[in-house]
Amino acid sequence: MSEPLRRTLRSEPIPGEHEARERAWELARAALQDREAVPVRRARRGRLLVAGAAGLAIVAGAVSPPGLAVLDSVRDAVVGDPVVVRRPALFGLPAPGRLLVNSRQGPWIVQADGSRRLLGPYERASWSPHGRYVVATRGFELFALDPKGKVRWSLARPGSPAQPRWSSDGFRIAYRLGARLRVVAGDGTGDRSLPFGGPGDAAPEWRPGAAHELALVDRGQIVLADTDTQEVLWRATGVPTPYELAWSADGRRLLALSAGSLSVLDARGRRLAQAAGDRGAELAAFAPSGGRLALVRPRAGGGSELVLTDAGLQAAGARRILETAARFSDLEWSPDGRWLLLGVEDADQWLFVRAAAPHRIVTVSNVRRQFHPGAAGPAPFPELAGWCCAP
Amino acid sequence: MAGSGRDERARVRGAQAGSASDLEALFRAHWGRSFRAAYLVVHDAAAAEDIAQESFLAAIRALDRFDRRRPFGPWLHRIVVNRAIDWARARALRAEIGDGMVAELPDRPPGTESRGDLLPRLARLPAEHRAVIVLRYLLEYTPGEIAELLELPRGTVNSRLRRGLDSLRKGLEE
Repeated sequence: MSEPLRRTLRSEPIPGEHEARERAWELARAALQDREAVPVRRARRGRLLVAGAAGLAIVAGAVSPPGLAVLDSVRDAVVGDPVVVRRPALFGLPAPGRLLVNSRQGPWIVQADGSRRLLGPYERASWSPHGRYVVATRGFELFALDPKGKVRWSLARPGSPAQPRWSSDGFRIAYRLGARLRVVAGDGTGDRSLPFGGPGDAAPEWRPGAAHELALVDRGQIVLADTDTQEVLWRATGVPTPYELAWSADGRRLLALSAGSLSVLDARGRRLAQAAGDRGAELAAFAPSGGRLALVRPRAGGGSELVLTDAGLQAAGARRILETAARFSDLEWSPDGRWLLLGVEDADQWLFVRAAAPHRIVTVSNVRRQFHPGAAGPAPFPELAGWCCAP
Repeated sequence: MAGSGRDERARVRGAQAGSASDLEALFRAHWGRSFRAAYLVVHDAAAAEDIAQESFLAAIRALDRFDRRRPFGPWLHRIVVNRAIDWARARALRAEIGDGMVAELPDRPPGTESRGDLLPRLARLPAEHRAVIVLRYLLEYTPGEIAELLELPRGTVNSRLRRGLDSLRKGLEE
């Protein structure tokens, strides 16, 4: 009995063993360096032990003090007493895919194994379909880059291109130039102006699965336009001017986030649901498949709560996942729809939250520093620009 | 392994002085078995990674206080196994145990059931029993050493070993 048992215990394959070793070694090396350079870390350790004694299941690494505060409030309010894993840095993503992150130094692509690449000194970037390219802006120019940062083409305009969005078939890119919207072909040719636009915050959003139908805000109203024919397909009335638009993955629902309210429209511009007041949302995102919505709502008394609901916004179908005293600043679904990523600017943290119960939370601290290496002064909190499909 | 006891003491001394190469030697020598021990107690690769990681971090933070006359491995293994037991207990309290524990174990090809069935059987034992079996048959500690590591009476270790092995054997004979 004992010999077969020994052999089995020694030889059982463990998923991701090699990657786990390398991640752990990077962490151990960093911890040794921190131990030399930052003797005050001892004070943090004391706080960590207090938190551990309070019942956290797993404590991984040093955590910044504001991170600890957020974590405590998370722990107090998450449904189902989740496993909470705390990481002092981003060692990997909990789901397949790649993150695009905009920082002051430029956009970064984060691979699933945690490795990061700075694409270059660009201002903002967004993914092409399937993550094959990135479209980025800088000064007077629009750039198409491959994921290694190599420029495929660039286009100079007399103004500052902003909010570029690549169509789901890859053949068009819409972007804003001042108050007007423009469209260029995916190979950088045929740039032209659209007769829509006006001042506003909402980026245009291509309807998935449709040929060059673009949802946009024109003179304060939501419009769906065919950019090839420049025809207005519909104009939504009675919906507050949104600051953000988002399509469901199947192109059948359009989400419009406005100050104080949240509307869901169907593909013909008819309002299906609306929530306002304390049922409104600051951030919202459709799951990559199905009709589920993740919402970030302001919490009475400050802070945010994360809620999962259906596209009908029915109160009965809403499920609160967690709430904290800090404000969530970003919200993204993983491509497989199993995880959500929340930015917590006040705490300089990201929270990965497993959407299905039993919930699991991975907190990543020191986010600013990781996307501004070597920065001399305080760095702004980086913005999530999409968690894209696996290569 | 890290080499002889003298070599290991030199590595610990170097790591205490801030040598990354000495720390790496210690890490490479001990990570694999620590991670495997944690995995065999918790049966969750992500959790095992967290446990082994944090154990190394705890060890690094406590390097200044470490007595170099003592071997590094048992000190680390004590941390790893105790954390793994705590994690498994917490998971059991949350009634998560049915989720990944058996599902993560790979299927075995037909004809190898006698060996392949051991791990699912092990996974069904209480965490405390799994821990003593892992300490005994993976990390090769004697019952006396296990008693010292886990701060348990030696009789308790022996009875957990016996009950654990009986359960594994009984399961295979059924």
